[in-house]
Amino acid sequence: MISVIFNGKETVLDGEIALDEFLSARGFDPAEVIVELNGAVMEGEGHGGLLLKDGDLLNVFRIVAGG
Amino acid sequence: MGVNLFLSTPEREKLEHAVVGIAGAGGLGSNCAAHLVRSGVRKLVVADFDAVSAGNLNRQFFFADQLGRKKVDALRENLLRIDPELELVMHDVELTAVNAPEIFRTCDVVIEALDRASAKMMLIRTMLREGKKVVAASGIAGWGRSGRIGLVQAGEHLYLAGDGESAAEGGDGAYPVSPRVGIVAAMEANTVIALILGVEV
Repeated sequence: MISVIFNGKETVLDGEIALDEFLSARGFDPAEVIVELNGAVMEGEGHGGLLLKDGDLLNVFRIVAGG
Repeated sequence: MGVNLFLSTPEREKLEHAVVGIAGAGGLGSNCAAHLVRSGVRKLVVADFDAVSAGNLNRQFFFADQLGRKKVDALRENLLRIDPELELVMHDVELTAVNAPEIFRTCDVVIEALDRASAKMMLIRTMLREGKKVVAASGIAGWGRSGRIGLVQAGEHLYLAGDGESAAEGGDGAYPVSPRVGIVAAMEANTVIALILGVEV
């Protein structure tokens, strides 16, 4: 079991899972979100096999139409 | 001299020397530009390929006698009426990942004020790759819920204003209207000025 802080809330996961899998399980379209992991904005949409680890700080921001 | 007579000399110098880019001259961009100019920013680089249409007047910084005019031309005219001594570089062009770096090359910070989600994302990512500070907007539509609009920082260089969810995509109340769009536009401008002056965003 690991614990990450996702959008400000402590979130317990079964184990280290791929960031991409975490996002898709929560219904995020990778083309429409800015992902910030441990203080850094991730480039691009796919994150390879990058795994979420215990204590990670993850913020996901939706970029929605309108301007 | 600028139109903001409240500024201290150091503040005036910082704002006069800043070059601010604005991607999009619609609901967010046109209003943001007005706020920046009234605050004392003198140099803007603005890009928008669209023309003023009747549906724009409910929120955009244009007027009924400007219908049909290119937004970059109409906006230039309106901004110069506030401060006749601005340095405005206006690009009547659709921004892409290819032309945006050159268009905003001289800018210290770029405001994302585009409409389609894919365009917003393209502009954010392109400008971050160029090492620019970016102030972007997401979630501006509808009425009320003013308190849900906020400003967050993502990483070192990106700021996001809006509520992060109210998309302007049609349907019940999912349209952009002046007050709420105005709040987000003002927030973007206020953030840019705070960055230029080096004060808390």
